[in-house]
Amino acid sequence: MNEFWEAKVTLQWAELGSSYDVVIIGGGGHGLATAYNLAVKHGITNVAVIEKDYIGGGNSGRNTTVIRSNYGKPEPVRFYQRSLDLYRQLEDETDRWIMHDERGLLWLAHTEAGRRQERSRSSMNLAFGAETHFVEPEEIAKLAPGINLDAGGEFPITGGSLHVGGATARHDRVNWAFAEGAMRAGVTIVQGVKVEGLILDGDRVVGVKTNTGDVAAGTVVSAVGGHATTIATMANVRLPIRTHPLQAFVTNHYEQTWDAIVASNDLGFYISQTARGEMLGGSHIDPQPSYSRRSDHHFINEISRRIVALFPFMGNLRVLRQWTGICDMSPDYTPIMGFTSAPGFLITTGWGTWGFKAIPAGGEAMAQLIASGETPELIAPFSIDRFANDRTLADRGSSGTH
Amino acid sequence: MSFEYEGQTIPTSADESVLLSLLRAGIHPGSGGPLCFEGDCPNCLCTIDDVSYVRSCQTPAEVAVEVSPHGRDAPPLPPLDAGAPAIAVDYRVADVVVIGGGESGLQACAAAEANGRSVECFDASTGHDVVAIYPGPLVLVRTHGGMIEVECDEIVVATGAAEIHPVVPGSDLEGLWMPRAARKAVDAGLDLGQLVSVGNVPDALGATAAPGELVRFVGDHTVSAVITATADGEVETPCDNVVVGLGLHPRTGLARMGNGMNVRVVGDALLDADIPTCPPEGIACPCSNVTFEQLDNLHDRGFTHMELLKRGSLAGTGTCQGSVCTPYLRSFLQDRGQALQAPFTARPVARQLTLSEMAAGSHLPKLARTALDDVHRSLGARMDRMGGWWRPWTYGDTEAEYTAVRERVSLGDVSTLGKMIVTGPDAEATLQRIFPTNVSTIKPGRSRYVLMLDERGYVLDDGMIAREHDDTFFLTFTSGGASMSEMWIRDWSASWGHDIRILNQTLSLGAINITGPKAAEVLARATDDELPPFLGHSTLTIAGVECKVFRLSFTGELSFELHHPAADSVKLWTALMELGADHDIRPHGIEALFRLRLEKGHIIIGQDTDYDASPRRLQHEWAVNMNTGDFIGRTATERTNRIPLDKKLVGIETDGDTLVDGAVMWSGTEFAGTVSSSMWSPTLGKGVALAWLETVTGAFPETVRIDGVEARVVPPHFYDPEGSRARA
Amino acid sequence: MLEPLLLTRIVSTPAALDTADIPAEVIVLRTAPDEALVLADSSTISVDDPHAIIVDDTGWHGAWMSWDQAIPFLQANCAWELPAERPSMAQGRVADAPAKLWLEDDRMLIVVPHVMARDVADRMGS
Repeated sequence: MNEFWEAKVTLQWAELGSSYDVVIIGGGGHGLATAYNLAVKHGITNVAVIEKDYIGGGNSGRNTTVIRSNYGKPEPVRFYQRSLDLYRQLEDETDRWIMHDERGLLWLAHTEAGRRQERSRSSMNLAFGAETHFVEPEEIAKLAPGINLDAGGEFPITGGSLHVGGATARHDRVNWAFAEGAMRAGVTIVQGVKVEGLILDGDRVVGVKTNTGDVAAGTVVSAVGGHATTIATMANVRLPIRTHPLQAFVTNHYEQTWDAIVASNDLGFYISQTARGEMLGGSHIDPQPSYSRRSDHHFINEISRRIVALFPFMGNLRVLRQWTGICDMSPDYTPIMGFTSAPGFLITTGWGTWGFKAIPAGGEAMAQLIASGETPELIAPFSIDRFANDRTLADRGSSGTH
Repeated sequence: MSFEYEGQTIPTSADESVLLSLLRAGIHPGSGGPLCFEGDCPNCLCTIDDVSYVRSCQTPAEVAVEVSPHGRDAPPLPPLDAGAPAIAVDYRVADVVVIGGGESGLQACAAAEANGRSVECFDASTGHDVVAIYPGPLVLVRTHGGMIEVECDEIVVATGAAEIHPVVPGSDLEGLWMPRAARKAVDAGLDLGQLVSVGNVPDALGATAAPGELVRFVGDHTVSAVITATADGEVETPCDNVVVGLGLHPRTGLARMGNGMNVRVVGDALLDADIPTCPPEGIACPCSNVTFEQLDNLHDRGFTHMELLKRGSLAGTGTCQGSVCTPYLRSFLQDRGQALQAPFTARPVARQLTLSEMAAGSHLPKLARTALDDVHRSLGARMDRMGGWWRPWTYGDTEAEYTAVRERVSLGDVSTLGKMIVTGPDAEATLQRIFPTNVSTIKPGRSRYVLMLDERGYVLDDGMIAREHDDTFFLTFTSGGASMSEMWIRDWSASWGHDIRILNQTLSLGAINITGPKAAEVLARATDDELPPFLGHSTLTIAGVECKVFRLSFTGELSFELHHPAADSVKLWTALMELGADHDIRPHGIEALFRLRLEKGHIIIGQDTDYDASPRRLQHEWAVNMNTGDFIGRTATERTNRIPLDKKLVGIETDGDTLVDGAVMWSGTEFAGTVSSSMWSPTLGKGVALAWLETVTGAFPETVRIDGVEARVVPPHFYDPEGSRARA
Repeated sequence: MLEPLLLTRIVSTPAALDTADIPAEVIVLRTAPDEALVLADSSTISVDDPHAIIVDDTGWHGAWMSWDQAIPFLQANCAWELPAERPSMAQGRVADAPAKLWLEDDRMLIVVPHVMARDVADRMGS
């Protein structure tokens, strides 16, 4: 019997009814966490989550499970730090093992400009509650065992930042913990039901049309990943989102002895060893927009070379599986959350390559917004209005790859 | 021939696998379980020469040196000081790739060849593991001598069918065989002793058939009896070895991986899968060690979807990629009242390969090197990666480099600048719309600093525009912005239907910046021609090299940019260094250049800007002419100019302290922005910085606190704000 | 093996480039409908386009290889299929550099930007 199986969670499935206070489209982490918070924290239990495939089957079950808050602007640092803090208590709160492992994230620089950027990141993080320190190459050698500081002469390591709160958790278990909590509190979660349209009353969204029938809703929330623009268009809301594939891979499992989480923006990869012992790696988004989830050779061919250049010992690890998620990229690499021009229709999207780490805070804030009718201060900067109001949160250097 | 195993020397022969050699020596290398000899199961995994998870049945004994057993537990990581082997790749092209050299595969080969098509055929039994089908279609093949990549038009999957493994209690004992493996073992001369068969097993093996249905195996480490169920109850049949025939499961993984591509399946891979009886207990997934008890437990707790069952139990996520457990997971769910589920999505890779093997053929991204690369390195420069190029960060004494520019004369390699000729009847019209400046007022022989904006009015790049003739312009861009800028101009001019010609000369021309109060004097020694005036340009012969000479200044001192054929860079550099020797000329690196320009308040795109840098925020509205016609970003600029300004790039001064790049600025307890670039100015005797200042309660503060230091907000021009030195 | 080349770059209308006056024996690498690299001095070339750009260019390095040398090099460094026609031009990624190939019956010319020449030479084993 392996010790990593899910031994506790109970999923109580229910039939989809015909009317709810809140209908959430998308049973990924953000949809489930929003439902959980509505039901558990605000007592709003007449809620349905509609998932077209199976819960956590999109990006919430395909990401590379890194939790961090080392951003370059005050607003995202505050938000992701809130999420990081919520992750720290999620096991206690839900009594479920999410394999949360806080071990520090090392973000490497290979240039003078990168060195400068990691110093800047440390200053910004410390100012807004995230613990990040600049580190010199000698310290990096200790933090990332087996690293080749010279990286083949091409990518010499010039420094980096150690984000002390950087952590990982098992993605599936986070989804299930929220799903179970929501179900137990009375939320209806259905799988295999596809939203095919929205029911409009003038501009107002008043329900959803599904392949199993219409469902009336006081509020509809799109927590969709990958096809966010498709759903928003049904409400006549235009999102500044492009969808790009993001690829990842995992090796066979080995004794869990490598404790680092290492990311290199210049080399375009990040890697960590999971609780079960697999080495888990990913890259930047593919440059071309696409909804394809097909993995390609170019990605794994390139990322393998880069990983092996930095960690030669990994050359003998065996690749087990590649996969692909599709990411909703906003123009400023920052999420888009809250009200839209369509009354009754809320969005939580633009989760790009950084959605997993935001699940607890994203769900908390969306639920607060629905319960109070007012946008919480924490996510006010993420309003869709920012694009029209020239208040974008340009911070590409922090979006990283995960 | 031999290899080492746990301190034993195992003799081998040329044609056999590691597994067979071990079995001959009486060793079962895995931790028990039936052997298939076809790479379908995880029961013969070994660590072979530092690589774990190697199927010993698929590895020729002749390539192995050191073999150790694997077991079910995770093996250790390779030693941290282990190097990565270099793996070669063989790129091939074929009309048809046939995967599998069995009967149906060979028929497919013959048929394709008869049609005059080129064929590549790969069979695992000859050491060619097809590990993946990728878009292309591209077939990736692992061999013991390296990788093969085949681009093809069509793929024929003739991978046959795997034998369904038993997963009943005792399935992890030694002495269990799949029928084909037993056949091969017997043929290889292994003595299987008292061999008992269960299920559908060919008579030719000569095994004693146990009656009825398989229930479990018994034994201590090695099987000693098999228990079957008959109408009369359980029967125990003693044995030394058991061969188990439970039906076939087509190997469709590669076919499913190639779904949507031109992939055809032939032979046994087309078979309908047999659905085995789901046993009441046992290990359903040997890779992840998942029991039926666990599956039942999960199923009872709502993990009813096949993907949730897999993710909840981790069944199907191990080495054999569900080859053993998939039939049983399907059978399990069917048994629990669900419709028969499709197998899992097939993802690369079908059979594992190392990261080194995966990397075969790829290279680390290489940076461009200017024609002066060797010169910089021979001068002891520390090279840095920047904008896609190797550039000299410092030659070892940045202060001296800085002083050479401010007080005497210095050379800088600016070959990395984007350089482009734009000509044609509509050249002016195109550039008029690309840049927010009145291009028509740039006369031949003159040049101007320009910003390039995107549709949102944010700065994409900056550079110089120089008019050579009426309809011919020469443009420069930042080092990192050259390719993007070329595409930007091409795309827009095409969409406007303009008749222009564009030539990107970034890689063809070198460029040297000679800068400092003595720059004109040194340059005059190298030419008989007259040097251009400030913001003028002309084509001159300098030290025998034909140069386009631009007089402009990034450093704040008198400067000339000499653009010349790349092949002449070394000649020109060497001549100028000799001619300036009496002024103690020395080259300056990027670090010195960044300080020099910071004192002047010149921005660096990317360092001082992010994606929301509008000219207004940069305090560069002087570079935007709203009285000219339409230009990209105009509408957005007009719109955003009506929105109150929230932040701007300003100068910051301190009396005694140097600020850190990226430091956070405070006004009282409120966030007031961040330092963008900073330095201690030896010339001015104070700390200076460019910084992004944000409004605090609606107004821009006049002083800020940074790391406990009080600093003044000033205009971002510290050194020679009138520009008299550059114009001298 | 890789040596600096003196060649001419032409940008003109595609029609003018199709009918350019270039000595017959000169190798023309037609890299785009409106652009060509010509292995000759610019003074020998004329194009019927008053706005054409015709400039000498020293930014390229090249090497001739016999097919005995070229085949193993390409097998290990070029993932795409070469055209069968001879002579012909092909371009794409070779040894991770943007390369132009000129293919003749008994030999091949590889041309790369000088800024990548050293790294390509390393991979050519020279």
